[in-house]
Amino acid sequence: MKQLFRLGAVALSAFLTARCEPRPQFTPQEIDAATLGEGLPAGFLLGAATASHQVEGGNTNDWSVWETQSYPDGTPHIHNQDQSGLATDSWNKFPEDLGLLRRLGANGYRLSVEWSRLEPTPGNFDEAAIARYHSWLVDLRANGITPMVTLNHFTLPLWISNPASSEPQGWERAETVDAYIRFVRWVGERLGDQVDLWCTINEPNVLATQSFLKGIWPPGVKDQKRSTQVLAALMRAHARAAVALREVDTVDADGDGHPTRIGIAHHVRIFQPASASLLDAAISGLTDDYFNEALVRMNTTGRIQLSIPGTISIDEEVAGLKGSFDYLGINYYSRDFIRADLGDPSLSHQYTPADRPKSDLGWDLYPEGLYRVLMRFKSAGLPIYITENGMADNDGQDRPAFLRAHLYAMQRAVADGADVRGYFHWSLMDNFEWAEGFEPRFGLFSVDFTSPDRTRTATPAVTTFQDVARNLGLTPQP
Amino acid sequence: MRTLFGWAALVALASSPAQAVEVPPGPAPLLSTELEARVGAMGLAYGFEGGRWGDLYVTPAVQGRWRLGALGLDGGVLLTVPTSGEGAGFGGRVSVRAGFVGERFAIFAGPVVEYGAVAVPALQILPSLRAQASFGAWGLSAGLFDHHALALAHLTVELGDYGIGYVAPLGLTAHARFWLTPQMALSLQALAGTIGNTQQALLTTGLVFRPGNRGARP
Repeated sequence: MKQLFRLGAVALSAFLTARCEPRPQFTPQEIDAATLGEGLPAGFLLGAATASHQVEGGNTNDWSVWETQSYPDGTPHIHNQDQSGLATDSWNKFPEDLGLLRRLGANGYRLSVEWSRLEPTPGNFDEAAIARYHSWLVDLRANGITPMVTLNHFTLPLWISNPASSEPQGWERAETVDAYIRFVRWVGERLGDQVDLWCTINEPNVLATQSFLKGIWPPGVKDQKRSTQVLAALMRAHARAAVALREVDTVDADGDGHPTRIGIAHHVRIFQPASASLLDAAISGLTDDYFNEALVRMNTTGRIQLSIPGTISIDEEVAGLKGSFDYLGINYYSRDFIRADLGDPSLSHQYTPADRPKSDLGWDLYPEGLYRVLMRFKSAGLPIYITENGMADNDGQDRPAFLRAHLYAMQRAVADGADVRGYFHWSLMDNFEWAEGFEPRFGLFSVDFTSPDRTRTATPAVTTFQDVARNLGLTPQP
Repeated sequence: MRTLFGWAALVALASSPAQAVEVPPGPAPLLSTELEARVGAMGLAYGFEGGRWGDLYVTPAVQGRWRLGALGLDGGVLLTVPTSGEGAGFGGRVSVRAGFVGERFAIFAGPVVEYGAVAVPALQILPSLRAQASFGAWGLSAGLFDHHALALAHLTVELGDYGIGYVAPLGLTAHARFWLTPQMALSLQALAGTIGNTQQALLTTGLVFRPGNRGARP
């Protein structure tokens, strides 16, 4: 009998704990005591991120149309009926934005180029517009700031998005991928002398989910199968873009021996089963595999393998996909609790418990999650850039603690072996937050959207950022 | 798979002859009125390349069965107490099933109401079913969301006080009872399985009390 108990205890403990990732809990005291910025690798990029449609202003694309429309019940697509319009007018105020980066002491900036601006009609590219982007990149490098350029950050030109049709739309169309590759080649040829860090597509999983599963982004489709097909199309596009970029960008802008480092910005969330229910756990696992794991696995296997039981199963080898990531970009914001709901297209109700600290958008503030994510993807064997991390905080008072806690989490992960090469805070300044409009404030610098010149003002987190920059050996400008 | 082999070894040990209480043989009914108190541990985790994320729970439970002629009532309460403060909160589940009990066949059906302290919605209701058939010295039991909804579906072979079964879609369950007195037995139950990338393991031990036994081996 004793032998039986011993064997049972050993088997259970081995099963339960042997390969589970540790789940840390950081205390405010240990975060406050840490010297943030110390111990990070040489050449570490500390910066901020933006996206063209959210800051540039004056864009005409699938989003600018979507922003003017409403759902069938009359509810506007965008909170408060906001429209991106002039946004932060960064198209005309880049020198000022560069000044913000210098003030932070940043040595990295992640920005995107706007396809609809650069190719307003099929095959007709705007040389003046690409020249302006090029001049920005030159100015960034002249100020010691390494650019990471995103080639698609959610928006599509109207001529390819096909908003008037019922289906297929946007990334569902094979023509979209072909047109995107033509665009990528053209941009790569013109900006390659200044860009070594390319991000082909921002958050393919989020785009597929919001636009084709939840239907809250253009084109507003709610269909599991189509959402999965779009995710596959985006990864095909990524693979072809990676091949194209390596062909056209052979200039090593910073002399480190790598003319092109290619990745995606992959949105990763912690999916926590809401209870000990087997269903909650199984749906959490399924969601995690689909949302977090599948894209990274594609890079390893070279195959697009996506499956929703009973709905769709894709297993396809894609040329150029295997090893297409030179780095893994991680966008980390929050954790979702998962309660199984088989009637919902996502198979679950995802929420933040009432007693958790939250951002203004109700997102769980869970810095330990960033540590867990970085330790998890350590096994992918790729350098990691945190391509986005931030919080909606209207008065800016909670952002300093958020920033410190997440940088502490990153630093702990680095100390424990994660190969993290950079951190880009979302965002440099307040901007147009997609379906949430202008209300959520993500900026290190707040923006007065009522003023014609979109006045930028430092939030308290700027001082926090500057302190970390100094610890990294960088020099914030007055 | 290694885990399954581990459990298979455990089950084999459990199936070996134990020092049972000497009781005179006699005809055993298919199901008897009984009450059982258990305690154990359960792990639920989902895996990914290079690791897994999961939660470990302590699982005290009370369950009972009442037979009133051909009618049967089956119910219980199981609590899930997390061992970490940063995952799912405290939870519990109540199952109440009613059914028919015959000489060779029994069936119970009813809901399992699962409560999660931080879950939204807090209650999750699942249908639960258990059927049992006796073929003399051995029998079969099958269930959907059986064992307090811890098993999605199972088919178990019963050999007296021992049982071993398949848990869908991939897993094993095993149980054993060792009679300490004619009315009281030590029980052991193990369950391990996977659904997709989610893995579950449960090990419990408890005491079974059968007030109706009067010197006959159950």
